[in-house]
Amino acid sequence: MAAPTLATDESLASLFQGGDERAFELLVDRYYRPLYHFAYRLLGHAQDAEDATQDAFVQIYRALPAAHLDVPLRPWIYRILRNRCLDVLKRRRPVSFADLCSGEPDDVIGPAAVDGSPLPDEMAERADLQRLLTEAIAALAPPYREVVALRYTGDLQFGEIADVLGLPENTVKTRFQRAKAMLRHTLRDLAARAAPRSACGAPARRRLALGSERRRSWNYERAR
Amino acid sequence: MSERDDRRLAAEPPDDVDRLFARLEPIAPPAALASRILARTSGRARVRWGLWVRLAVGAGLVAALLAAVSGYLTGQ
Repeated sequence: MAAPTLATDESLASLFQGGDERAFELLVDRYYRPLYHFAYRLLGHAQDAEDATQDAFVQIYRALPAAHLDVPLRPWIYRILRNRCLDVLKRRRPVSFADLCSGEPDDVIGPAAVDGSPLPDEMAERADLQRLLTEAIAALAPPYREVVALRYTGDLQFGEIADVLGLPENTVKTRFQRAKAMLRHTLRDLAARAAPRSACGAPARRRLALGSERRRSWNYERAR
Repeated sequence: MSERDDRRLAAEPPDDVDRLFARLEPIAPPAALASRILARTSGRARVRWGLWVRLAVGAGLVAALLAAVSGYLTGQ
Protein backbone atom coordinates (compact mmCIF):
# COMPACT_ATOMS: atom_id res chain seq x y z
CA MET A 1 0.00 0.00 0.00
CA ALA A 2 1.58 3.32 -1.05
CA ALA A 3 1.44 6.21 1.42
CA PRO A 4 -1.60 4.90 3.30
CA THR A 5 -2.30 8.17 5.09
CA LEU A 6 -2.82 9.84 1.71
CA ALA A 7 -5.26 7.16 0.63
CA THR A 8 -8.85 8.25 0.17
CA ASP A 9 -11.49 7.23 2.69
CA GLU A 10 -13.02 4.98 0.08
CA SER A 11 -9.76 3.19 -0.70
CA LEU A 12 -9.13 2.64 3.02
CA ALA A 13 -12.64 1.27 3.36
CA SER A 14 -12.01 -1.00 0.40
CA LEU A 15 -8.82 -2.31 2.03
CA PHE A 16 -10.75 -2.91 5.25
CA GLN A 17 -13.39 -4.80 3.31
CA GLY A 18 -10.54 -6.96 2.04
CA GLY A 19 -9.58 -7.81 5.60
CA ASP A 20 -6.95 -5.14 6.34
CA GLU A 21 -7.63 -4.09 9.94
CA ARG A 22 -4.88 -1.47 9.72
CA ALA A 23 -6.99 0.45 7.18
CA PHE A 24 -9.70 0.85 9.81
CA GLU A 25 -7.13 2.15 12.29
CA LEU A 26 -6.15 4.78 9.73
CA LEU A 27 -9.80 5.80 9.34
CA VAL A 28 -10.09 6.11 13.12
CA ASP A 29 -6.92 8.20 13.23
CA ARG A 30 -8.26 10.44 10.47
CA TYR A 31 -11.73 10.98 11.91
CA TYR A 32 -11.79 10.66 15.68
CA ARG A 33 -10.81 14.27 16.36
CA PRO A 34 -13.29 16.00 13.99
CA LEU A 35 -16.06 13.57 14.92
CA TYR A 36 -15.51 14.19 18.63
CA HIS A 37 -15.51 17.93 18.00
CA PHE A 38 -18.78 17.69 16.06
CA ALA A 39 -20.37 15.53 18.78
CA TYR A 40 -19.21 17.93 21.47
CA ARG A 41 -20.72 20.93 19.68
CA LEU A 42 -23.98 19.07 19.15
CA LEU A 43 -24.25 17.63 22.67
CA GLY A 44 -22.33 20.21 24.73
CA HIS A 45 -21.04 17.53 27.10
CA ALA A 46 -17.61 15.87 26.99
CA GLN A 47 -18.56 12.42 28.26
CA ASP A 48 -21.62 12.19 26.02
CA ALA A 49 -19.51 13.27 23.06
CA GLU A 50 -16.92 10.61 23.81
CA ASP A 51 -19.56 7.88 24.21
CA ALA A 52 -21.31 8.90 21.00
CA THR A 53 -18.00 8.96 19.10
CA GLN A 54 -17.04 5.50 20.37
CA ASP A 55 -20.48 4.06 19.58
CA ALA A 56 -20.37 5.58 16.10
CA PHE A 57 -17.00 3.98 15.34
CA VAL A 58 -18.22 0.59 16.59
CA GLN A 59 -21.23 0.92 14.27
CA ILE A 60 -18.97 2.01 11.39
CA TYR A 61 -16.77 -1.03 12.05
CA ARG A 62 -19.78 -3.33 11.87
CA ALA A 63 -21.39 -1.70 8.84
CA LEU A 64 -18.31 -0.94 6.74
CA PRO A 65 -17.79 -4.48 5.38
CA ALA A 66 -21.18 -4.25 3.62
CA ALA A 67 -21.02 -0.54 2.74
CA HIS A 68 -21.26 0.58 -0.89
CA LEU A 69 -18.13 2.51 -1.74
CA ASP A 70 -19.45 4.16 -4.88
CA VAL A 71 -20.66 7.12 -2.76
CA PRO A 72 -18.46 9.38 -0.61
CA LEU A 73 -17.75 7.90 2.80
CA ARG A 74 -17.47 11.13 4.80
CA PRO A 75 -21.19 12.05 4.87
CA TRP A 76 -22.00 8.42 5.74
CA ILE A 77 -19.60 8.54 8.70
CA TYR A 78 -21.04 11.84 9.94
CA ARG A 79 -24.58 10.54 9.47
CA ILE A 80 -23.86 7.59 11.78
CA LEU A 81 -22.45 9.89 14.45
CA ARG A 82 -25.29 12.38 14.04
CA ASN A 83 -27.81 9.58 14.65
CA ARG A 84 -25.94 8.51 17.81
CA CYS A 85 -26.02 12.12 19.00
CA LEU A 86 -29.76 12.38 18.33
CA ASP A 87 -30.22 9.23 20.44
CA VAL A 88 -28.41 10.98 23.29
CA LEU A 89 -30.55 14.10 22.90
CA LYS A 90 -33.71 11.98 22.89
CA ARG A 91 -32.63 10.23 26.08
CA ARG A 92 -32.05 13.58 27.80
CA ARG A 93 -35.60 14.71 27.22
CA PRO A 94 -38.50 13.56 25.12
CA VAL A 95 -37.95 14.86 21.61
CA SER A 96 -40.96 15.03 19.36
CA PHE A 97 -40.65 14.79 15.63
CA ALA A 98 -41.36 18.51 15.50
CA ASP A 99 -38.15 19.13 17.49
CA LEU A 100 -36.14 17.79 14.62
CA CYS A 101 -37.85 20.05 12.13
CA SER A 102 -37.13 23.74 11.94
CA GLY A 103 -40.79 24.68 12.31
CA GLU A 104 -40.75 27.15 9.44
CA PRO A 105 -40.94 26.21 5.80
CA ASP A 106 -37.30 25.70 4.86
CA ASP A 107 -37.74 27.10 1.39
CA VAL A 108 -38.68 30.51 2.74
CA ILE A 109 -36.11 32.90 4.13
CA GLY A 110 -37.81 34.36 7.18
CA PRO A 111 -37.25 37.79 8.73
CA ALA A 112 -34.59 36.41 11.10
CA ALA A 113 -32.46 35.36 8.16
CA VAL A 114 -32.25 38.84 6.70
CA ASP A 115 -30.88 40.42 9.88
CA GLY A 116 -27.57 41.46 8.40
CA SER A 117 -26.48 44.14 10.85
CA PRO A 118 -22.79 43.51 11.55
CA LEU A 119 -21.35 42.34 14.82
CA PRO A 120 -19.28 44.76 16.88
CA ASP A 121 -15.72 45.00 15.55
CA GLU A 122 -14.16 44.30 18.94
CA MET A 123 -15.93 40.93 19.17
CA ALA A 124 -13.06 39.08 17.43
CA GLU A 125 -10.54 40.51 19.91
CA ARG A 126 -12.32 39.38 23.05
CA ALA A 127 -10.39 37.13 25.41
CA ASP A 128 -13.53 35.08 26.02
CA LEU A 129 -14.28 34.63 22.32
CA GLN A 130 -14.20 30.82 22.49
CA ARG A 131 -16.71 30.80 25.35
CA LEU A 132 -19.02 33.20 23.46
CA LEU A 133 -18.89 31.08 20.30
CA THR A 134 -19.53 27.90 22.29
CA GLU A 135 -22.51 29.45 24.09
CA ALA A 136 -23.92 30.85 20.86
CA ILE A 137 -23.86 27.40 19.22
CA ALA A 138 -25.31 25.77 22.33
CA ALA A 139 -28.20 28.27 22.34
CA LEU A 140 -29.37 27.09 18.91
CA ALA A 141 -32.12 24.49 18.64
CA PRO A 142 -30.82 21.08 17.45
CA PRO A 143 -31.90 21.41 13.78
CA TYR A 144 -29.87 24.61 13.46
CA ARG A 145 -27.05 23.51 15.76
CA GLU A 146 -26.30 20.43 13.71
CA VAL A 147 -26.08 22.40 10.45
CA VAL A 148 -23.76 24.95 12.07
CA ALA A 149 -21.63 22.23 13.70
CA LEU A 150 -21.27 20.32 10.43
CA ARG A 151 -20.35 23.48 8.55
CA TYR A 152 -18.03 25.13 11.06
CA THR A 153 -16.48 22.17 12.89
CA GLY A 154 -16.72 19.43 10.26
CA ASP A 155 -15.98 21.84 7.41
CA LEU A 156 -18.48 19.97 5.25
CA GLN A 157 -19.83 21.36 1.98
CA PHE A 158 -23.56 22.02 1.74
CA GLY A 159 -24.01 18.99 -0.51
CA GLU A 160 -22.33 16.77 2.08
CA ILE A 161 -24.42 18.25 4.90
CA ALA A 162 -27.53 17.54 2.84
CA ASP A 163 -26.37 13.90 2.56
CA VAL A 164 -25.76 13.68 6.30
CA LEU A 165 -29.16 15.12 7.21
CA GLY A 166 -31.14 13.55 4.37
CA LEU A 167 -32.43 16.98 3.30
CA PRO A 168 -32.39 18.85 0.00
CA GLU A 169 -29.30 21.04 -0.37
CA ASN A 170 -31.41 24.21 -0.70
CA THR A 171 -33.09 23.44 2.61
CA VAL A 172 -29.70 23.07 4.25
CA LYS A 173 -28.53 26.40 2.85
CA THR A 174 -31.67 28.15 4.04
CA ARG A 175 -31.41 26.59 7.48
CA PHE A 176 -27.77 27.64 7.69
CA GLN A 177 -28.60 31.25 6.81
CA ARG A 178 -31.30 31.28 9.45
CA ALA A 179 -28.91 29.77 12.00
CA LYS A 180 -26.35 32.44 11.22
CA ALA A 181 -28.89 35.17 11.87
CA MET A 182 -29.66 33.55 15.23
CA LEU A 183 -25.93 33.28 16.01
CA ARG A 184 -25.43 36.96 15.20
CA HIS A 185 -28.35 37.85 17.45
CA THR A 186 -27.11 35.66 20.33
CA LEU A 187 -23.50 36.84 20.05
CA ARG A 188 -24.57 40.45 20.20
CA ASP A 189 -26.72 39.59 23.18
CA LEU A 190 -23.95 37.70 25.00
CA ALA A 191 -21.46 40.48 24.35
CA ALA A 192 -23.90 43.06 25.70
CA ARG A 193 -24.49 40.92 28.77
CA ALA A 194 -20.75 40.63 29.49
CA ALA A 195 -19.90 44.26 28.72
CA PRO A 196 -21.72 46.01 31.57
CA ARG A 197 -19.86 44.01 34.22
CA SER A 198 -17.45 46.87 34.65
CA ALA A 199 -19.83 49.71 33.89
CA CYS A 200 -23.19 48.74 35.37
CA GLY A 201 -24.43 47.44 38.65
CA ALA A 202 -26.12 44.13 39.36
CA PRO A 203 -29.67 45.28 38.48
CA ALA A 204 -28.64 46.26 34.98
CA ARG A 205 -26.83 42.96 34.49
CA ARG A 206 -29.89 41.06 35.68
CA ARG A 207 -32.17 42.91 33.24
CA LEU A 208 -29.84 42.09 30.34
CA ALA A 209 -29.58 38.47 31.41
CA LEU A 210 -33.35 38.12 31.62
CA GLY A 211 -33.71 39.62 28.15
CA SER A 212 -31.17 37.18 26.84
CA GLU A 213 -32.93 34.20 28.37
CA ARG A 214 -36.22 35.31 26.83
CA ARG A 215 -34.61 35.58 23.41
CA ARG A 216 -32.88 32.26 23.84
CA SER A 217 -36.15 30.53 24.61
CA TRP A 218 -37.68 32.39 21.70
CA ASN A 219 -35.05 30.85 19.46
CA TYR A 220 -35.85 27.44 20.80
CA GLU A 221 -39.60 27.82 20.53
CA ARG A 222 -39.30 29.07 16.96
CA ALA A 223 -37.61 25.82 16.05
CA ARG A 224 -40.48 23.70 17.35
CA MET B 1 -36.61 29.14 -2.24
CA SER B 2 -36.30 30.68 -5.67
CA GLU B 3 -33.38 29.97 -8.00
CA ARG B 4 -32.20 33.52 -7.45
CA ASP B 5 -32.10 33.00 -3.66
CA ASP B 6 -30.24 29.75 -4.18
CA ARG B 7 -27.62 31.37 -6.40
CA ARG B 8 -27.24 34.20 -3.91
CA LEU B 9 -26.66 31.78 -0.99
CA ALA B 10 -24.19 29.70 -2.99
CA ALA B 11 -22.20 32.71 -4.14
CA GLU B 12 -22.13 34.64 -0.86
CA PRO B 13 -18.63 35.44 0.38
CA PRO B 14 -17.81 34.77 4.06
CA ASP B 15 -19.46 37.35 6.30
CA ASP B 16 -18.57 38.53 9.83
CA VAL B 17 -20.21 35.47 11.44
CA ASP B 18 -18.28 33.11 9.15
CA ARG B 19 -15.02 34.92 9.93
CA LEU B 20 -15.71 34.77 13.66
CA PHE B 21 -16.54 31.07 13.63
CA ALA B 22 -13.44 30.38 11.51
CA ARG B 23 -11.61 31.15 14.77
CA LEU B 24 -13.54 28.51 16.68
CA GLU B 25 -10.89 26.23 18.16
CA PRO B 26 -11.37 22.46 17.96
CA ILE B 27 -12.19 20.72 21.21
CA ALA B 28 -9.38 18.28 21.93
CA PRO B 29 -10.69 14.76 22.50
CA PRO B 30 -9.59 12.77 25.56
CA ALA B 31 -6.06 11.45 25.08
CA ALA B 32 -7.14 7.81 25.18
CA LEU B 33 -10.16 8.11 22.89
CA ALA B 34 -8.52 6.54 19.80
CA SER B 35 -7.12 3.63 21.79
CA ARG B 36 -10.51 3.08 23.46
CA ILE B 37 -12.20 2.98 20.06
CA LEU B 38 -9.63 0.53 18.73
CA ALA B 39 -9.90 -1.59 21.87
CA ARG B 40 -13.65 -1.87 21.34
CA THR B 41 -13.40 -2.67 17.64
CA SER B 42 -10.34 -4.95 17.73
CA GLY B 43 -12.00 -6.72 20.65
CA ARG B 44 -14.80 -7.52 18.24
CA ALA B 45 -12.28 -8.78 15.68
CA ARG B 46 -10.73 -11.04 18.33
CA VAL B 47 -14.17 -12.34 19.26
CA ARG B 48 -14.84 -13.08 15.58
CA TRP B 49 -11.50 -14.89 15.18
CA GLY B 50 -12.07 -16.76 18.43
CA LEU B 51 -15.39 -18.00 17.13
CA TRP B 52 -13.81 -19.29 13.90
CA VAL B 53 -10.98 -21.00 15.81
CA ARG B 54 -13.46 -22.72 18.12
CA LEU B 55 -15.54 -23.85 15.14
CA ALA B 56 -12.43 -25.22 13.37
CA VAL B 57 -11.26 -27.11 16.47
CA GLY B 58 -14.76 -28.53 16.96
CA ALA B 59 -14.98 -29.62 13.33
CA GLY B 60 -11.55 -31.26 13.61
CA LEU B 61 -12.59 -33.18 16.72
CA VAL B 62 -15.79 -34.37 15.05
CA ALA B 63 -13.82 -35.49 11.97
CA ALA B 64 -11.29 -37.37 14.15
CA LEU B 65 -14.10 -39.06 16.08
CA LEU B 66 -15.84 -40.10 12.84
CA ALA B 67 -12.55 -41.46 11.46
CA ALA B 68 -11.93 -43.45 14.65
CA VAL B 69 -15.44 -44.90 14.67
CA SER B 70 -15.37 -45.76 10.98
CA GLY B 71 -11.89 -47.31 11.40
CA TYR B 72 -13.11 -49.42 14.29
CA LEU B 73 -16.17 -50.58 12.37
CA THR B 74 -14.09 -51.34 9.28
CA GLY B 75 -11.63 -53.38 11.43
CA GLN B 76 -14.43 -55.54 12.74
